[in-house]
Amino acid sequence: MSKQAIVLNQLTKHYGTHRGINDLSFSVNEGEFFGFIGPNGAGKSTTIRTLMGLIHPSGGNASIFGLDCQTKASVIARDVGYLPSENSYYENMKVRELLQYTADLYGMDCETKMYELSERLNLDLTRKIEDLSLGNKKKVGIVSAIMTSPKLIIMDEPTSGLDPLIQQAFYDILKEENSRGATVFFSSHVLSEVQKLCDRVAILKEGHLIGIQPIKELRESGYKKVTLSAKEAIPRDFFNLSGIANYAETADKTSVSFMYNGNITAIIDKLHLLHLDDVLLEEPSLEEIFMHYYE
Amino acid sequence: MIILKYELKRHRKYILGWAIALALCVFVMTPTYYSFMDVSTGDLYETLGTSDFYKGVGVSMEYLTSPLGIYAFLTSFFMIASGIFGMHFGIAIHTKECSERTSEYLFTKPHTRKTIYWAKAFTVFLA
Repeated sequence: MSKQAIVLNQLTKHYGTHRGINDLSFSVNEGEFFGFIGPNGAGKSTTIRTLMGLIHPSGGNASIFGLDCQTKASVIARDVGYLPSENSYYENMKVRELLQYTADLYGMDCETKMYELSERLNLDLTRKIEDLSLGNKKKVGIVSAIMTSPKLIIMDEPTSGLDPLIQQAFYDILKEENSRGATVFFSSHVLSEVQKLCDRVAILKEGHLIGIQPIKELRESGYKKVTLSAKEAIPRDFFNLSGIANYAETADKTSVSFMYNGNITAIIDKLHLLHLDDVLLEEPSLEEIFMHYYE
Repeated sequence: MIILKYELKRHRKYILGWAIALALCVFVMTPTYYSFMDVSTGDLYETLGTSDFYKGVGVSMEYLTSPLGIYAFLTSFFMIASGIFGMHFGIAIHTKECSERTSEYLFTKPHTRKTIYWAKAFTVFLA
């Protein structure tokens, strides 16, 4: 059985009467690429900031590598690379100075990796932090979090502000770090990137954990997306089968689409009865699968 | 030590700016120190030297009319300015981490909050 890198035990945080997170309990295994998704305000950043010892939980506890996140935050930090969702750095420093400061704070010589990552992410080390755009500041945060080769990488919405090319380079870097043995805790509200990268995913909604599932299982949940267009109008009750969801039709009722997780032969039999122009049976995107959780 | 080193480096312009400004203030007052050497024979000595007020507050005119004495007297006003600098620097070096939202960067590094606090306090002491 693999060791656990992160363990949350009934972790709760309330901001007065405002909702934070409620009774979160799950664990992340060492070496795992773990996704943490939910809409804005679901409590992702609150959870991560509690893990990093930046805020105190109202109840429950969390540990990283067996150490309590509140009392051993500075010890834990030695093995953790963290990228906050909104990163602010010392404005009057140059990028290189800031990254060197990070390396010095860890007591490490990371010069080779710093140059390598900066080159891959197209980050200019000679510029001042105050002159950087949001995307470039994000790159500084990424290099700062990864260049120390930490055992655990915690990223809070890391791709906001990055252009698609840099995003791809960033995904490659994360995959390489994960292959090296690093555990990655990846928070995002963009499901497609979680789908590409993660082994397992935890879904958060309004501060509550809705579920944790391997991405593979989630995809194999049986849902197929059916889109079809026929020569004549399709009656509303034509597909009176169980397992149909999200049924949508055009005004003239000649085109319909829906999600289906029933017997595949039954739907094929139904399709035979129609004079079809076109039919598309496809794997739904994770967005479409997750819409069921959020509905 | 790392935090101390970087804090000194980061604030060197601010520290040097104030140090140079205070040094200039002390320096440009040099003619005043020497001008007080002649006061012992002038009218001012007769006026101030016999004042009960100065006697009351324990100021000796013999001391005030020596270059070192008047230097110490005037510099005490500049020390008020240096006190303002000290207070501002001492508070700002800690609160800036919060107002500029850089505390999240520093607090997630392998140093305790106590270490960070004292490194910054020692920076102020050295400045």
